[in-house]
Amino acid sequence: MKYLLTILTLVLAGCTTVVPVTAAWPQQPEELKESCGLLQQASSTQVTEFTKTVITNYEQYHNCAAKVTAWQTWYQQQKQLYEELTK
Amino acid sequence: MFLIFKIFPDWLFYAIVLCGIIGFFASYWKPLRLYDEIFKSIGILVTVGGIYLLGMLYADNTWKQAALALQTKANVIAVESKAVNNTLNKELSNLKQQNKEKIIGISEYIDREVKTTCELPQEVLNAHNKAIK
Repeated sequence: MKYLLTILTLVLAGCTTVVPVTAAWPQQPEELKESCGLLQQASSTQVTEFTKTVITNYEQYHNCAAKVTAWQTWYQQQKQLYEELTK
Repeated sequence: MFLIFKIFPDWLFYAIVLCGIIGFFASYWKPLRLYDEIFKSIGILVTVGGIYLLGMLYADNTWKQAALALQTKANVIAVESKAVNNTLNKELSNLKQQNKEKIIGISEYIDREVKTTCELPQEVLNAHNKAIK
């Protein structure tokens, strides 16, 4: 009886297997590897110079916002692709 | 996925079943009448064992085909994934360029249109710089 249990266990263990499929984790886009740039400090009290600093910072913001949107788009599209694979 | 099927060819397992059946019927052959019980027992055992192995082989082949189909799908999706990255890279790059050109345009506008030499109080600069940190 004790041998029967061992044999049964071995037979069942022989049935287990892994599916040899490799799916690599998707690489992030190159543009999204960079962090958002630092905002510029205002150094001049001149209205024109100050305004230029402000608009430069607005540019930084817009670039950063575009990166966040791109990350969201990337995630959604990669998720969709992953779901197609697991259908 | 079963090691046994990587070592031995498939036709061997069909041959095992065939040998078991032949061995069973060989027990009815007159010259082997003396050993008919042995031949029958061994024939049945070998046939049953062979059928079990054929079942394993079928399951193994089914899994291999499923794995191959899945791997093919995964490879296609890897290519699509790269395409997504390339599209996003291009879009971001274009957007950054557009933003840069816009800011240059606005700077030029400021230089052209703003004639005042008025100065802002230092407190305004301090408040601005504090907000940045």
